Amino acid sequence: MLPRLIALISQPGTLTVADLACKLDTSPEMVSSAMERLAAAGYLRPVAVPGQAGGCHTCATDTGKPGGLQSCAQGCASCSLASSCSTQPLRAWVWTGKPRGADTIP
Amino acid sequence: MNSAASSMTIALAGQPNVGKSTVFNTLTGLGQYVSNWPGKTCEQKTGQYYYEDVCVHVVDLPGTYSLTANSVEERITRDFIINCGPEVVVVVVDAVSLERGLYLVAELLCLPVRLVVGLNRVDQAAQQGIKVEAHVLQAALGVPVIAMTASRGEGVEGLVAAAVQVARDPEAWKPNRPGIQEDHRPVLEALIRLIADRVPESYPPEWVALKLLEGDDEVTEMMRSQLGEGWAGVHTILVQHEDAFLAVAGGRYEWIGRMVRAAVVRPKAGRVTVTDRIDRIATHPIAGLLLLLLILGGVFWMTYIIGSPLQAWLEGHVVQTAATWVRSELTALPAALNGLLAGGLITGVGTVLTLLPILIIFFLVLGVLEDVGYMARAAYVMDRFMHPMGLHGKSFLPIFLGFGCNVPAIMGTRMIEAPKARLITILVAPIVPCTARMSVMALLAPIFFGQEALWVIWGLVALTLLVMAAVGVGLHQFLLGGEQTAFIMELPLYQAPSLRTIAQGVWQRTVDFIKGAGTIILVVSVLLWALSTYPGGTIDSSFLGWFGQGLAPVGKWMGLDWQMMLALLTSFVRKENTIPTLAVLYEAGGESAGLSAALAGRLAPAAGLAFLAVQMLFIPCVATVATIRQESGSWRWTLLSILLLLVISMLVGIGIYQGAVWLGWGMN
Repeated sequence: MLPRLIALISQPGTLTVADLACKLDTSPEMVSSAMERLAAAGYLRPVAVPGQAGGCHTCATDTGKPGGLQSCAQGCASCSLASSCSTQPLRAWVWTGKPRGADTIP
Repeated sequence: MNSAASSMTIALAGQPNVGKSTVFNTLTGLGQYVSNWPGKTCEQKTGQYYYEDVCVHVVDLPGTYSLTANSVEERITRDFIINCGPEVVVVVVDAVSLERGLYLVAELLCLPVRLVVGLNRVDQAAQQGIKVEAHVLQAALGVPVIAMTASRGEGVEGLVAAAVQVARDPEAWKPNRPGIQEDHRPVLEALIRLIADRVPESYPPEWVALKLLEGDDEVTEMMRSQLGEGWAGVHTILVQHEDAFLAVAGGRYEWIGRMVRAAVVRPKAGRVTVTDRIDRIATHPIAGLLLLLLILGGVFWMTYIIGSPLQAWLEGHVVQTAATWVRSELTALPAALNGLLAGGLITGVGTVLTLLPILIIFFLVLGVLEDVGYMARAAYVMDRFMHPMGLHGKSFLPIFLGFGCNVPAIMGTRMIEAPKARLITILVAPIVPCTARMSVMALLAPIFFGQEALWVIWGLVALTLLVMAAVGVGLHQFLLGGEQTAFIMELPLYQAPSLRTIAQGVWQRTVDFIKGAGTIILVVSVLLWALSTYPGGTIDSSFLGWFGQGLAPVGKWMGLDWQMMLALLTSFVRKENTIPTLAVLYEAGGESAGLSAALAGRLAPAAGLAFLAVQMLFIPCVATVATIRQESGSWRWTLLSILLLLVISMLVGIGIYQGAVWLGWGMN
């Protein structure tokens, strides 16, 4: 599944997790899980935005960190509007196509 | 176990929010002990539970998505399992999203530890029509699987019973472990041969090799120091297979797929959720677009049909009343101070005040759409139109709102995550013809073109949108990198809006606007008043007037006199200022009927068209510029935005007039 998923998400365009699940004949949860792993490995950059009027500025910038989804949740904790924020954040990722490169291997 | 049926240690592992802490609290009750993990600020919870004659020490590990060293929680979890060696690790997974939880199970199966899987929230899964057959999953995994509803305490004791049984009879535990994808198996085996002799005692060589291929920084550093000169061979393999992570993770997902296909029964095709039903229309390429246009039309209607009367009321009954009162009641003040108060400060503050109804309604309506979950669908539908400009669908809404006012359009770019896409949208949004510009068109076009005015206005709007698209493509290609990237979204479920959430968001953003843009608008308004008054006391003999006359040579290229050029300049404060400026300069008394008479015959149609085109594309008003500065955080990009539109508007105006001259059209 992973090579086919990468073939789909490496092309310019906007896709939803539901679209990908349909194309890969799998469940949206499987695709979401794979997206999280690819983000942790650097292939994707998570850009999560809590569902709030105008968009939460604290989390509106992408985290750009490995394990970005956990870092994003921690970033929300420092937001003054975190307690009243929507419980359904919009999760999104941008393809970077840059895994840990050979030049970063010590 | 530590001694004959006396005590054992169970570690609770699992992703965040799967009910792991509920299991822990159910088992340990008030007998919990809370401290910090050694050397970490992360909380450690331990407790005890007695099952038959066994004292079970329960350790609640931090919630983790995997065992890669990307976070403190992940390091703590794997360090504890590897170095402290609990007898059993109980992995709690959510039956509603089994695929996610099984990735952690796949990782844990590579460690020398016995597992029991706690399949939690089976009740919620059943409500969604998802049936997970625990016994089938158990047979497929080769690991005990206990169905639970931890929130009701159901299945928790069975979980402990299974863990105790596994600890008592380790020989019976025969898990089905995931493997690396076949094409990379030789690579894994070669790596294991290189490192096996130097792996620290508690670490399994195969697990270490997998982590090296995954690019785990901590394991990489550990083995580099262990191997010393022997690292070179490992380094060569890792460099040659820098994408090996995909083979490792791919193998796990193939394994997860087999488990899920065996044990999970999902809803039949006829049983769909409310979200699915709505999304059949909302995300449809054609129906979704029509729905979007309908909803955006409603947003526009609410924002400006309701907001505009409020804005007009504020302008007429508050701002004008205040200015008139100052002029008539504060006559004791020096004329200059009186003029500053009425024409500078009150006008400046009034500009901020009259924008508030529009902004508040915009934020409110947008907030509702965001909170119910619709905005994600709008972004998805509009994506195909945004791509040539390097923008994704989320850029469309701010641009669309520019048809009302550019200020909320630019403020709306906060919802755009990617910095470059947000910057392009900020620079492109001011080109959209706002209602203020359209009101000037609506007044002046009939004066210049009579019954042809409607076609002229439509043509100018089309021209403006073409210029906007060209600028967007140009910025995307030449100035901001031209990168095209894939954008993947997980559409949230629809939900009822939270009034508290929306109200707080509206309040916060309204306060932000008043603090930020309002300060700049106030200062600039005072400055413009002074420049249009001094030194001579009239606009003709003011600095602004002299400046306007200095622009006459530029105006000649477009067939415009200095008064028209000055009217363009004063539109910087507010676009509508063009009208009273023209009225004053042509001594029309400020009335439209008077202005019609004053302007009639003054400009050739070609010059009139050039003026209207420049008016449409001219630099944005001071409120918009202030908001660009606020949202971009950069004077460089703010000045570029002004310069860009100044150059474009002048070139278009000159091109129209000179083209007409060349064609011999519209000169009479």
